Formats: sequence, structure tokens, C-alpha cells
Amino acid sequence: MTAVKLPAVAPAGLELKQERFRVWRAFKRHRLALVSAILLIIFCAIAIFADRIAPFDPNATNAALAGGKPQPPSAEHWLGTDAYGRDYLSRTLVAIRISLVVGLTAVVFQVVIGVGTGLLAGYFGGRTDNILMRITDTFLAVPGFMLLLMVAGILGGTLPALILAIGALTWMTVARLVRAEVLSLKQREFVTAAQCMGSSHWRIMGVYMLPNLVSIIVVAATLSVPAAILTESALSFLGLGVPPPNASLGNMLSDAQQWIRSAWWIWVVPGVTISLIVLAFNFVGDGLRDALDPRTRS
Amino acid sequence: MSQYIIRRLVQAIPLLFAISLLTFAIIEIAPGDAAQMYIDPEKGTDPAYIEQVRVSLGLDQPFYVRYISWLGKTLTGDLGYSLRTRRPVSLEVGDRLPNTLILGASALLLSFVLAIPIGVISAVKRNTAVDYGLSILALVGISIPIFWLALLLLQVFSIQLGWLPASGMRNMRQELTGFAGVIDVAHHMVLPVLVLSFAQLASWSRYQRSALIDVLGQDYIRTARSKGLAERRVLTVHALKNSLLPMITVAAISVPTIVMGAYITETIFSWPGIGRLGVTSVAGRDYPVIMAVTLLSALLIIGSNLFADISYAWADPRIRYDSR
Amino acid sequence: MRKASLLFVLLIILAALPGISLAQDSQTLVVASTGDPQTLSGLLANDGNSIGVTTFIFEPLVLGGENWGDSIEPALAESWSVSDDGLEYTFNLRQDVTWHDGTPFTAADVLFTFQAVLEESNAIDWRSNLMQDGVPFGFEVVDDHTFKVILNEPDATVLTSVGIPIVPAHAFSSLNVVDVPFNTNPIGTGPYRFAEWNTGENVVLEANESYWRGAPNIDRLVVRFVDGAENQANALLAGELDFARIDGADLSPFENNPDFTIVRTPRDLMRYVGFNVLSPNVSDPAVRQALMTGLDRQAIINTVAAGNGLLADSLFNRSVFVYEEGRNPQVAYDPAAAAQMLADAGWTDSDGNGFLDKDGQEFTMKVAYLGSWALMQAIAPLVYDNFRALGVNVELVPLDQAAANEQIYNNTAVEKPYDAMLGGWGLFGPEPDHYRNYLANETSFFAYANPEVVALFQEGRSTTDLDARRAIYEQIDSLLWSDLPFIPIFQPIGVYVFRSDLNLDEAQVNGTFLTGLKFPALAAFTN
Repeated sequence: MTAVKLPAVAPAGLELKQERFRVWRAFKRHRLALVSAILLIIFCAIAIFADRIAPFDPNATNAALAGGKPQPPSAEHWLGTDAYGRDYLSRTLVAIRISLVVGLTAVVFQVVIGVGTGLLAGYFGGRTDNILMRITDTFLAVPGFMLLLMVAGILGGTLPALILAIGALTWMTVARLVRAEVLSLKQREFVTAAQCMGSSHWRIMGVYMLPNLVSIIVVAATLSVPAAILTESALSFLGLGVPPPNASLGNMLSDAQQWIRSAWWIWVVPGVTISLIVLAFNFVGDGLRDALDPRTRS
Repeated sequence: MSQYIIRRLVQAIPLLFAISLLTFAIIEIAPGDAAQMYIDPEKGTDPAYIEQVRVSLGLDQPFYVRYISWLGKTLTGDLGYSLRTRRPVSLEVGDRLPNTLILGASALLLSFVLAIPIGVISAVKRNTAVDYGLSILALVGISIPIFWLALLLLQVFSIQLGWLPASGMRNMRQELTGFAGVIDVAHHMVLPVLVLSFAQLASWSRYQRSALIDVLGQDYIRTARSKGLAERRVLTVHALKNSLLPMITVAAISVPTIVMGAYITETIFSWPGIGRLGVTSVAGRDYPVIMAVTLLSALLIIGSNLFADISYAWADPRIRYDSR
Repeated sequence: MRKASLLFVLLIILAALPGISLAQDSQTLVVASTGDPQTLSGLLANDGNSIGVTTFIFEPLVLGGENWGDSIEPALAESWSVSDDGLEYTFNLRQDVTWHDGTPFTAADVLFTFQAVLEESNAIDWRSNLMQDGVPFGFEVVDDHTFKVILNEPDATVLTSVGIPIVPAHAFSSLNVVDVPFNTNPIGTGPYRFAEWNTGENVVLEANESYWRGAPNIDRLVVRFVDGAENQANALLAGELDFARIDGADLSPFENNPDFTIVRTPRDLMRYVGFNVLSPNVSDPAVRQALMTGLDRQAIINTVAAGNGLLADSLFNRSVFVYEEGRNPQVAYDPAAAAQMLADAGWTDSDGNGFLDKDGQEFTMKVAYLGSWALMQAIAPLVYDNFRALGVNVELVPLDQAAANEQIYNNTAVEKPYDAMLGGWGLFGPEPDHYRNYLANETSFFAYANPEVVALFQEGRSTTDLDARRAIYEQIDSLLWSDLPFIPIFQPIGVYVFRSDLNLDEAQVNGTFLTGLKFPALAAFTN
């Protein structure tokens, strides 16, 4: 805690290369973040090559083998099978792909809308702020899960519909957080200085404010990926998640309820996988946050 | 300030109007209508009968006629009747709302009371074993799906140990009144409240940590330090107060999430709350109930937002709301 | 802040203390239901949650109609006679029955009930029961305890058609039975009377001391709302439920457990894969037969019901009076034979893409179902994989409740948005005529109306001679079995779990009653 803090300045003046190197060095120091980043790369690789590395067709049932009960791990089925006799390893691999696709695309969607709205509202204030925040409020004030159910009902249970629904109904938190931060940044010396020097609005927002928003966006986004993945699982719980027979970590977990007492692999495998993915996102987000934020750099 | 509050309240009127129209339109676009709820799929029903039901529910009227009629009644304080149960909406919602509020408020309080100290400790002891330990704990918290946690806790505390009830909010073998009744409800609340606050706790302590780290990097903290103020005083008087700023936003916008997002918790613990009513009414396109739940939630969030903004001004004197 | 948190933690600990002991009331029985009833009026009840409560409160003249078990037995009518021309049914009502408020039950109540059912603005599901080709039955109150039903032409289904819960005339001021307080504060003649409804929690019923079959042994019956078989199982284990049907749940904690008794009873329900028989790909009965041959129905029973199901060999449920096990040749799972049958019907994979085609059209099949119905969600992957293995390009379409009802169950349009659907139905009782609406009706969800079957159903209804009727319905049964508008998969066996110290006779656990307790009056506690 005795480290000297650098004054809060926008990193605009720093040389880009040096900055990147500094970020990487800082990030590297965060051991958990580094390990998590590697883990995420592995998960992404799994997601990309899922259908090639899966030993079995993930949707092929084998009733004779299962006899209505999940089968424990064996030499042939490394993670056992579910009650349908479907290879659980293959299903998990494919589920990682689907869950990552749902989580990442939904969050990209939400961050783009959320940051745009929050930045414009906070920076321009006045009427712009009023209109944008009323729109945000309208979306915020409709109970999200109910709206999600209604939209899911309209669009039907398909994957793109699911992503669209989750993304479009979760951007408001980011917008509010960004706006709050921008309100505060607007009062800071370097922004006032930039304004006095006649910088354009877009330049102030893009060059002076955005870098200072990165930490809050990263924290919000990393927390949103698991939120999106978990929202899918909640919809699965209602039978409106990723439609069968396709596997998602959410619907695997939802199906696992029944076997919580008698087949550990059925709930441990998707549970641990979801937790690992989420943990990894959080640690990476954390590491990035510490590394990117000029004020917290020691 | 009071002018500002009045202005915000006036602004809430068109907002509520916009929400009601949006929701009504979405229900209208969604396939199916409330008459469908009179069918038991295990039984099968004569289609001619459903047509009769549709007429008797007024669903044969066009969209705008129903909206205007709904709006007119609502403005006079009449929320109408549930299309599914034909009971007054005020009764359907009124019976359940207190149950959800008590659950949500307890969870909110518990998360807040636990998240802030955890976040502060993490921030102060940044990059130490303590921080990592708390971070991992919090992150594990976020990463566990809520129904998974609920089922595990239920297995351990209700089934294996037999300490806590597994379902409902009251003992049903016996009518308990007075203090015994309160204890009985509290007893039934423990597991659902724990489950509900767990997810918030995890993310809130992360936000608190981030916020405090931000504040600790600010100039005025350096100034305070350089003035020779004790670290403890810097932390509590200057830093903590300002770091609570984003927390207020986070908490305020979490209110509807907690209250309305309690569906899964309510289902698993058979809690007689409004989350389950909301989901049932959406599935049944029971628009008088959907509208009531939606508007209640809207009022809740508008209130929370206003509260957040006022607290902002209170906590950070640099922010002023001009009452132009 | 520290003080506040300490106080809160203390409160939680206080509440978490185990064994805050609450005296057990041995005269309360807690049974499960999945949620709030829509109504407490027997006349309006049309969903499982409502019927589960109203069967305790209300009674019909005669048991055996829809929802009222699988054999025709006297209830509020102790006997009946039919005139020689088959046009007049005279019901002799019980004289020892009183309503829960003490008023005597008379023929005027029966008349009121039937008139209310016929009143179009009430939109009551039973209405078609009391009509013949659009003309209502005639009614006559002969005296306080004699009631006559007069027909225009002979009708063999009258005894099951009048299986309508009777409501008290004196509780209503007009024929409007829809928007009345009665629906949340019902009065019936059944073994239990309504005490209170705690929204979202339970319905509490109290023993009807003057019940004509004798006072129930359980004073207080609580119908508690716990959604989902798994949650009901947990509540049973935690001692918060005494009796529940938990077909879908993991039964291992109850098996070999002396605290619980498991009773398995077949239910009057069918799970099936229905076809839109007008959809070109499945319009050929030979194709539908092939699909049945290629569907591992026993595997579905084993997987989704832990083996608790009876493999179907008829499109009628077993409760139908003409049902006879083994009369139709059972179809065994044989994917090779199924592939051959499809090839014989002209479906081959001529372009080698893994999917069958015929005349340049790929064999695609959109299978729609109610996604929030866990059982259907569980059946779907097996149907998908079995049909997929035959070379059918299957797409599963889970729908939410209102959408499923609009697109499937209540879709009277000839063009349906699916080729097949997953479903389940039942509680039709012994009368096969109740199937007519679905199996001889081109606007039903199968779009199936084979003229031969339609004519036979018409004939069966107006034939009063039992042997002649039997011959007609046996013929319908055979025709349906070869035409196959739906693939019947299985009839579920209800798995009822209850506390062993509940002295319940297995015979009292009735699979056709949604509550599972046939006459709770007869159920007793020993401790």
C-alpha cells in the first residue's frame, strides 16, 4: 500500500508500444489471470474444434447401454453417459461451444449498446441524457426475466433468438455504470483542460474518457459473460433455453437436477465446467483491469 | 433539490405510459392468448369451447380497444380481473407481493451488509493472500448457477441435516400465530435468502473492491495522505464514502433483479411470491396480471433510481442537479 | 454498520436453529399439487391443479365420466333406469345428502347445474356433453329426489356425459356462474369442504362430518403447492408433505426406506407422438407404421419414466371398456424393418446426404411440443435420435404454453405449422366416445378424419346394445391401430409415495384421480 500512485492522467501522451508492453508486464504479474487466460484459450480451442475432438455423436442415444440411468465413467465413455446413453464428454465439449457462443455474443451486443448509450448520455447531459436515460429506464423498469420470457415466446426457442434476447435486455446496467463514471470524469481536471484546449467532443470521449472507462467496462463485461451463460441456464430450467437435442451447459445442468443424489458426474461435470469458464473470465477481467487502469498501476 | 425530485416524479408518468404500451404490445405480438390457458394439454379441449372462452374474456376485441379499456380502468385504480383465475388482479398480486418483498429485502440487506466489508478488505489488502482468498470465494460465488446452489444447500441442510425447511414459508400442519409465527417464517426464509443473496454478494463485493481501488487512486486521497492524515481516517472518511457511490447505483438497479429474478429460488423453495406469478402469467398471456406486475416493478425501479441519484448528490458534492 | 450486520447475523442464526419444535398434528394430511388452482368451482375447473382440489369438494351424479375414474358407479344418484325406447333416463337421487352449508341436496340443484352448463355465456367445457347434434338434452324435475334426462335419439354415452360436478342452486342468484364469489368460496357435497385458500401456498380443506359415505378420518387436508416432482420429493424427505405422486423424480431415497411406502398404479393417460396426417411426408399410413417400428418405445419408458409405463398396443387407453390387451398385434422396435418399410413406401437416400428423400423432397419433420412440460422435453431427444437414425431430418420445436396451445392444441386451421407433435392426454374414463373429438375430427391436432372411423363413431354413439357397441369400437380400435394418426408410446404408471405410518390401502390410491386419493374418507392415520 505504500506504492506511489501516479497522478490520474489520460494515457494519451504515452507511447503506444511502451504502453502495450507495460500492460502485458502488469498483466503477467497477475498469476491467476495468466493461468485463466490460458484456460480460456483452451476453452475457446475446445469450442472451435468441438465436433472434431468429440469421440461420439453428442446427440446419439444408446438406450441399451444406459437402461434409463446415467452410466458412470468408463474406458469407452470417459465422463460416462447421461440417462439417454449419450456420451457425456462429447456433449460437454459441444456444450462449451454453445455456451461460449451465447455468452460472448450476447455480451458484445450488450457492451456496444450499453457503452454507447452511457457515454453519450453522461457526456452530453441535458436533453440527450434525458432521452437516453428514459429509454434505459424503460428497459430497466420492465422486469427483465419476464420480458425475456415474452421475447423468447415470440421469437421461438432458437439460438440466435436467445442471444438477441439476452443481449438486448441486459445492456442497461453497463449504460448506467458508464454514465455514472462519465458524470464523475467530466468534472476531472484533464477533461476540463481538454475542453478548454478546444478538443472535439468525439476526441474527448474517445481519447480522454474511453480509456478511463475501460476498467469499469471490463469489470461489467466479465461479470456479464457468466450472467448471460447463467441466464441461458435459467431459461433451460423453464424449457426455453437452447432447444434439444443440442447440449448447452445450462440445459445439461438443468437436466442434472434429477440425479443430484445418485449420479455425481451428471451434475459435477457441467457445474465445474461452467464455474471454470466463469472463474477464468473473472480473473482475466481482473488482471486486465489492474493492468489497463493507469491510476492503479504501481 | 426538491424541484429536481418533483421533476423526476413528473417524468415518471410518461415513462410508465411507455412501459405499459411496450409490454402490452409485446404480449400482443407473442403467439397465443389467455384463452389458451383453459386447455389442459393432458386432456384436450374442444376448439369451439375455446372460441366461447375467448369471447367471454373479451379477447375477440382488437388490440387498441383492449389497451384503452385497460388503461382507462387502471387510471381509476381498477386493475381488473386475471384472465386465468378470474380473480381480481389486486388480490392475485396483493397476496404475493409482501412475500416477495420480505424475501428480496432480506436478501438485499444481507448482501449489502456482507459485500461492503468484503470488498473493502479486498481493496485495502490488494494483491495479498487475503485479497486472493476473498476474490476466489466471491468469484466461486458468482460462478455457481443459482439453482445448483439451491439444490445443494437443500440436500445438505434440509434433507441430510434436517435443520431447515425445504419448502414454503410456513408450517402447514399447524396454524402458528404471534412470535412463533414470525420465527416460523424466518426459519423458512433462511435458505432462500442465503441463495438469493449469494449471487449479489459475489458481484457486489467485486464492484466495491473496484470502486474503492479507483477512489484510492484519486488526487484528493493523495492530498489527504500528504496532509498526514491517518490511513484509517483517509479510508473511512474520504475513500469509503466516495466508493459507495457506484455501489448505490449497483444496489439500486439490482432491486428489480432481486425482486423479480427470484423466480427460480421461489420455485425450488415453493415460496409463494410474485416471481412465480409473473412467469405463469407470461406463459398464459394473462395480460391484466402481467401489466400489474410490470408496472409495480417499474414503480420500484423508478423509485430506486431516484433514490440512487439523490444519494449521488449527497455523497459527491461535485455532482449537482440543476433545476433549470 | 458493524452493529447492524451483527444484529442481522444473529437473526439469521436464531432462525436457523434446528428443531424449533412444532407439535405434530396427526389429523392433518398434506398432499401435493403443482400450483394454485385457477378456480375452486367444479364447473369451471379444467386444469390439473383445479381438478385436484375440486374432486374433494364436488361430486357428479354418476362416476366414470371424464375425470371421474374408470368405472361407472353410483354417486349422488343411487340408481337409474332407462326407458324402453332409450330416450328417457331417470335418476334416483340420494336422500341423505346435504350441502356443506347444511341445505339438503335436491333435484333442483341438478337442474340448475345442467342449465348453467348449457348457458352459452358461461363458456363451460362440459356444454357439449349435454347436447346431441347441437340440440340440448331435455330435463325434468319429477320430485325432490327424481331427475329425468330426455333425449331426442338414443345415446349410449349419457351416463358418462352427465358426470358433471353438481353445484348448489341456492348459492347462485342467476345462471351466471363465472364472475361470482362462489368460485373462491365453493360449497359442495364431497367428503371435504373448503376452508381457506392461501394464494401461492395451499388450499386447506376440512372433513365433511356429515358426508354420506361416512365422515373422513382425516380432519384437515392441506393441498400444498410444490412445483416439480424433484421439489415434491425433497419436501417429502423433509417431512413437509405426506403424500405425493413423483413419477419424474429420482426414487432411490424412497426405495428400501421404511419411512415411506411406494405404490404404483396405472394412470388413465397416454403419451404419444402425434402426426399432422395432412402433412405430405407423413400422410401415408405405411410411413407412420414404419416410424412406430423404428421408435424404441420401451427405451422411452425406461428413460423418462424409470420403467414405470405400460407399452401401448391401442390408441385407446386401457380404461376404455373395449380395451383388451393383445388384441392388436404389438409392434416391436426394429430399426432395420422400419428402414425397409420406408424404402417400400418410396423413401430412399438417393443423394447420399444421410437423409431420406422421395421425388426430390427430403424427409423433414418438424416436431412441436410444449417446452415447459418436462416430460415432453425428456421424450424429445429419443424421438429425435430414433427418427434421425432412420434418415428423417428432425427439427424439435419447443414452444411456450400459450404458443403451444395456439399452434397445436387449439389450432383448428387445416394448415398446421408442424409435421408431428409430442403430447399426452387422458382421464377419458371407460367411454370411447370421448375420443371422437380428436380421432374423428379434421380440425383436431392430428387433422385426422378417416370417413370410415367417423361413421363408426357416429354409429357407436347411437347404439345402445352393449355387444353391438363393443363390436363397433373394436372395429374402430383396429382401424386406428393400422391408420395410426398418432404413435401411442405408453400409459404411465403413477408412482405415489407416502409416509408409511399413513394407513393407506393401496386400492385407495387411484391413478385416474388427479389427487391420487380415491375416497379420502376412507384413508386413515394410525398414530
